[in-house]
Amino acid sequence: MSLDQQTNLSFDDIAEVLARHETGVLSLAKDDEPYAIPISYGYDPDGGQFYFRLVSTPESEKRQFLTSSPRARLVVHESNGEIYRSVIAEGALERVDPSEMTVERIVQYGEAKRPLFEIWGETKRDLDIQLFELDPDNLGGREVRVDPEEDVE
Amino acid sequence: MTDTTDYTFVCPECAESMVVNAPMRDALIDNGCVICGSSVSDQSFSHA
Repeated sequence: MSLDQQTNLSFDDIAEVLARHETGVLSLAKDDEPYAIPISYGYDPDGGQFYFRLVSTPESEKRQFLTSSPRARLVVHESNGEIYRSVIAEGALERVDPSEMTVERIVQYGEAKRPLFEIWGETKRDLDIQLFELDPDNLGGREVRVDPEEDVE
Repeated sequence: MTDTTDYTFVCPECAESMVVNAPMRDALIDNGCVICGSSVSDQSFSHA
């Protein structure tokens, strides 16, 4: 397989990739210890912000990585066998206090899908669901086109 | 005339409670609970 062409995605292309999907992988770190989880997100292309619901318990590993405004990286990717695209957003993950709710946030979280909730056995009443926003200071995307025919030798 | 009434919202699913104004109440009914995403009706609100 050869890499025929590799290009950086434009802002509009990045927004289209993010709109086509609703899940990605969110990576956090504490000292030298990494932590990555699949996550549902909402994205506002006008404000450039990501919206997340994170579910944790006081004993959970996730909680240990959600200390004050941790640095985070979100990866969203897609492929169709010939074109591979990836988007990476990096920035501080800020917790949203429900007392600071606005109409705009309610609308954005309404668009943040939540299929991963379905894997939880507990009722929502028993879950600790916290809201977070990521306003990336780095947002980039890449597209790679490959020629699958060149796999054959 | 702008509705300045405050409402107390209690989600029937996750039990999250918050005081909201009329535009936020309408947004919650249209978009679901901001915390858990469950559907919300006007019966989830009472006057604060």
